[in-house]
Amino acid sequence: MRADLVAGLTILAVSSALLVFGGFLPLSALTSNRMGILWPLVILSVLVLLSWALVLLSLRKKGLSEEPPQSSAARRKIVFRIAAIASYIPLLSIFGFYLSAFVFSLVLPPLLGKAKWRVSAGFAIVFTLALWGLFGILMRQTLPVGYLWAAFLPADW
Amino acid sequence: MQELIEGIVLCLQPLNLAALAVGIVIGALFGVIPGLQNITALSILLPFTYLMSPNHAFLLIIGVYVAGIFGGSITAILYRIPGSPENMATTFDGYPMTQRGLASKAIGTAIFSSAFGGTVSIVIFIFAAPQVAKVALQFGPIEYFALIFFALSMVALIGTSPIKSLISVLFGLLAASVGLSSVTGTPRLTFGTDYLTGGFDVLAVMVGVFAIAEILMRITSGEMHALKATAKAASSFPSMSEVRAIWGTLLRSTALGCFVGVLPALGATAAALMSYQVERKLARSGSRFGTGEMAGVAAPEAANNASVGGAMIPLMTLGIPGSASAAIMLTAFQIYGLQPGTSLFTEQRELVSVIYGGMFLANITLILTGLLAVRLFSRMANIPFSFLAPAIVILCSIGAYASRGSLIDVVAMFGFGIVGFVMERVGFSVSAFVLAFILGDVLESSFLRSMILFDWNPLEFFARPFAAVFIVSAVVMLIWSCVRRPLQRVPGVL
Repeated sequence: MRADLVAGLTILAVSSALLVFGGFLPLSALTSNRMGILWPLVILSVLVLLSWALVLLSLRKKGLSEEPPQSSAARRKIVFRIAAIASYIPLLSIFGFYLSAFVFSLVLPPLLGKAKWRVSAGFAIVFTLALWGLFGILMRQTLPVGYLWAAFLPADW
Repeated sequence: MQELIEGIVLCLQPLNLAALAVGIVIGALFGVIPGLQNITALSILLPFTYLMSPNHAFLLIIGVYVAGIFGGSITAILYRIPGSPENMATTFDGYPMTQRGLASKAIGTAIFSSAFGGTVSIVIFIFAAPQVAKVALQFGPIEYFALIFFALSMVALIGTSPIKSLISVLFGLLAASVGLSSVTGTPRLTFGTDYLTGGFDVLAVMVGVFAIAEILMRITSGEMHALKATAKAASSFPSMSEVRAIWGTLLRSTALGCFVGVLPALGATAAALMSYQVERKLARSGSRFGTGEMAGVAAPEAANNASVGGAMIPLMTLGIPGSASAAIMLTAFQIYGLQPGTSLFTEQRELVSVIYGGMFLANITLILTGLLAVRLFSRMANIPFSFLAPAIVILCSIGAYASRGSLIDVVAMFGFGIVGFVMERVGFSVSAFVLAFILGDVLESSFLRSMILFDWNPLEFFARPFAAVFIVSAVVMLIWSCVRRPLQRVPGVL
């Protein structure tokens, strides 16, 4: 159970790091007016114990069936797809909401499936206009402007 | 009962009715599309409820909650692919009915059973909730701590690995503890940043771990294409003689579903599977189960919808959600500054009536929706996921941004999306994480307040009979879950 071993070790490392660098130590800091740190301290301590247990159990189960290993091409495809989804954050912060929504809904369908660019363009136009109508006009919702346009907009926008 | 009638009258006002109808349509659509669940729809919609009045917001949520559980039965019957985990048991006899040319009868049975189970459970909820709320009036921080501790311990009973379930709960509690302590005001795990001082935004967390993680799961599994139809979608209700034949099944499954819904951490999927197993064992024609038995469709559909009414009892009286979907509803209460419990029933009578009426009407409307729109819904399952994915990501981003107007919340949403995705892949429980995250603050504050009352002597918990029973039960369950043979993993159950 390699995944369990990696998960156990990761949780162990992260909880230990949080215990050390999270402001819980030294324990003498646990005065009556700082009792608020008791709760996360207890949680992290139990997490450390349970992650040890997970590591030990995964070592005992060594050799049991694993998922078939993925080919490097399949793994690359997965990483590429996750990166494509995550690219929305920089798009949003640079181009603002509506332009990033248009670009994202135009580019993602062909990247994820076998959508034709023409269909994807039609979808992007209709979807972006629907978003503008719903959130911009109907709900008057304030949405991210983006660094690119912020410079051209009045200060009180 | 008076509240129910008042609620129905209020719900029939045009805008209220529109909110309920929109919720039902959205819920049914998300239920129908495999890979998307009603919890995904709820988490996407939740941030937008900020813009609505409480009545409209709760009717929208109720519509999604009720219809989402039913929607998945259409694809379960027509394609053998449950739209949501709650409908997995429906495939066992629903698809064989389709193969025998009885697809419309199977869909009709699913609609009738869902509406029956849902409606009866709402009536039970309406009668039981005020009584439980009166008992809850006696509860102080000590009892609340014991009750939530018990609820979260139940999570360890489900799934193949109790350790992973417990770790998921602790993750949720840890994430909830980030920021200022609600009792002492001490900053925890903030690392000097302003963002973390305010704690994680509950909406960013919810949308991330449910919706974004769901998208990541789907795109990494490569399921991007539409389903292929195997039968024409239509619905034909069971005749009177057929209803008489499944009457006992409907009553037993509704009772079981309602009871399972009350229990924390189990939810609609467990209710559906348990009732199917019970009916299969009770049936005289037991061997016909799995080959297209009408009772095999009625049992899971009545039970999964009945679990909704059951889950509402601890949610509205004690503030303890019975499932992840109920946890989203609890967040909606928090958004409006409402505290579930006796005060909700005395100070928010109109809202409580609207919730009663909305749930009742949503179940009745299921019949109309099923009759009129079953073909449309079945076609929605044909939308390629490559188009749905960007649309959902964009809507989620608006939701995460809108709650506090901060782009960091959008980043946090993606971060929690990756956390949810990894948890799901490695076999941890996302639902357990969310239940613990939602209940974390109340658990901590009731623990600290109890300890202050007890002058830091934890043994005092055992001097209170109610608290002692729940704490001892929780500890026994935790020990038992660690020593027993793990239960068969059920997809979608915690």
